Amino acid sequence: MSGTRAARDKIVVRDLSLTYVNEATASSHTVLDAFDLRVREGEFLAVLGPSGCGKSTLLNLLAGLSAPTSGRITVDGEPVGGARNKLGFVFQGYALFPWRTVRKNVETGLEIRGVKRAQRRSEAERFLRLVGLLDFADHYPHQLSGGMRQRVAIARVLAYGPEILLMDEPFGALDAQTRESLQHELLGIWEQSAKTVVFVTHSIDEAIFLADRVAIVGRGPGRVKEIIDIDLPRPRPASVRHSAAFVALRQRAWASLSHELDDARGAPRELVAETLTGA
Amino acid sequence: MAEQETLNELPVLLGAKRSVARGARRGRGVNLSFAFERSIALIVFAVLWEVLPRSGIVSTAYLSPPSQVALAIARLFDSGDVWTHLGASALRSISGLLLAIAGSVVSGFALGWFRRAERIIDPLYQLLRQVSAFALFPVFMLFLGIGESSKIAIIVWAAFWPVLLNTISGVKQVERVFIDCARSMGASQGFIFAKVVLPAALPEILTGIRLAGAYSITALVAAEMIGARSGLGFYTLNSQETFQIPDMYAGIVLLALLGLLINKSLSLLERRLLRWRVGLAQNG
Repeated sequence: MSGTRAARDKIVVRDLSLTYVNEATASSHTVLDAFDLRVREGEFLAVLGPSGCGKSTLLNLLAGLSAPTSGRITVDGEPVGGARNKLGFVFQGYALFPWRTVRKNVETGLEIRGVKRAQRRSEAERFLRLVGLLDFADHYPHQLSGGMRQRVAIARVLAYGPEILLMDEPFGALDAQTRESLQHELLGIWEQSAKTVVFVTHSIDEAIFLADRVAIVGRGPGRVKEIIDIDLPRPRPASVRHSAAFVALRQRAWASLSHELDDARGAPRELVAETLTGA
Repeated sequence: MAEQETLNELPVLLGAKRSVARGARRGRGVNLSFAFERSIALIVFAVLWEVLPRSGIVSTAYLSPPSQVALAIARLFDSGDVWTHLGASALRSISGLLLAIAGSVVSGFALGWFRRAERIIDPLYQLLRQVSAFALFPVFMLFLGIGESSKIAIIVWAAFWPVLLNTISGVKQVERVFIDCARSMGASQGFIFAKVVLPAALPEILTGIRLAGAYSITALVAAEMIGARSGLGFYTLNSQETFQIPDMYAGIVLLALLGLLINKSLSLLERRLLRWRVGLAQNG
């Protein structure tokens, strides 16, 4: 899919650094250093790396939720602070408002944009239907399963029509089956839209199955090591996971990551390997 | 009983299944025994109260039996005086409570949100909240005179602190991810306060308000016993001074009922506002 699109850069991250300074102990911790990344318009980019490599931090910076120590992030050439309206964030913990019904949760972004009540309602219903949860519109989030909650969170973000979806390990807390079915749904939704997706994950399979390109991030401090083009045809059936091409890509990603594991200072190799293979 | 009703009212939610099942089990004829259980202590208390003065164990000059107290209350209703006193007391306690809530929720929001301001002001309010409302009554009288304002001021003081402390703690405990989520959708600061921080902190704020309701009645009685010409507190003390002992107990009983009424209204309000929490405890 990426090959057919003009490769216009949607998000440009240049020389990004983030250092936390602990004033009490006068020590500092560099999470990201000289981080560069270009996200093309309309592409599905997976950011893959071990826990603690700063990939979630990167996403928070992209969303403008925290400020970098130095460096620049632009969206369509604008600094990220002014591009808030183009961004939608999907959190690993769903972040649904427990005091709002499913319907009201999905309406939140439209409410913020001052959309009238009736239109809000019909828009919310459209997206709830899209994720198959219209029947649960008047439930509260805690009455739903994890998979359903994440569907609501996705509907909520789609409802106000952002051009870019930032997804922070959105399926990380789900069981394997729910996870696969949500991956399918997400691809289905994305293929019918022109949205740019940045999807953070620590699962090699998930990254390859979903993405046009996989950016492998190493740690200590975090930076992009390698970008792998995923040239698997779309739409991708579940069986694509067993194809030779998929297996080859997985091996390539694994090689790149295990090289990273050799470099990892302090962390026992087995432990890090575990975080990578999960799901 | 009230608890029983709420259990049956619960919608069929995931988390409510257990409670409903419990209610159904109780439902078959067991309801009566539950009601009986809940009244034993009250009945024994009333009987003892009736018997002690009537049998002469306690002098009726000190303790009137409940039957006489009931008559005294009926007389108060007949003459219409009850509305003067109950009305005055209700007006004072409710207006004091509302003023306290308004002030403490607003300042609690500010202090809960701006950590620096809270660090600076915390020692001051830790000190001030220890100052008894009753100790301050002479000060309020100096500044505000003996009229309504000093009486309401003492109630405001007593009701202010529990709401303030609970609001601060509620606002501080709002999960970061809710605020981040609203910000990521482009929410303004106003939206975040009104539609994220307020509902997230509301359970704690309401707990503070319930406490404040109880404190406001205590402060009310004290205020009405000093320089008032109406109100249940005044009526109680005045009856004692004129040796109308059944009327004194009537005043006490009515004060207890007013307290109960305020408490019940506040817990109804709480249940109404926190409907979304039904079944949450079980599901996380």
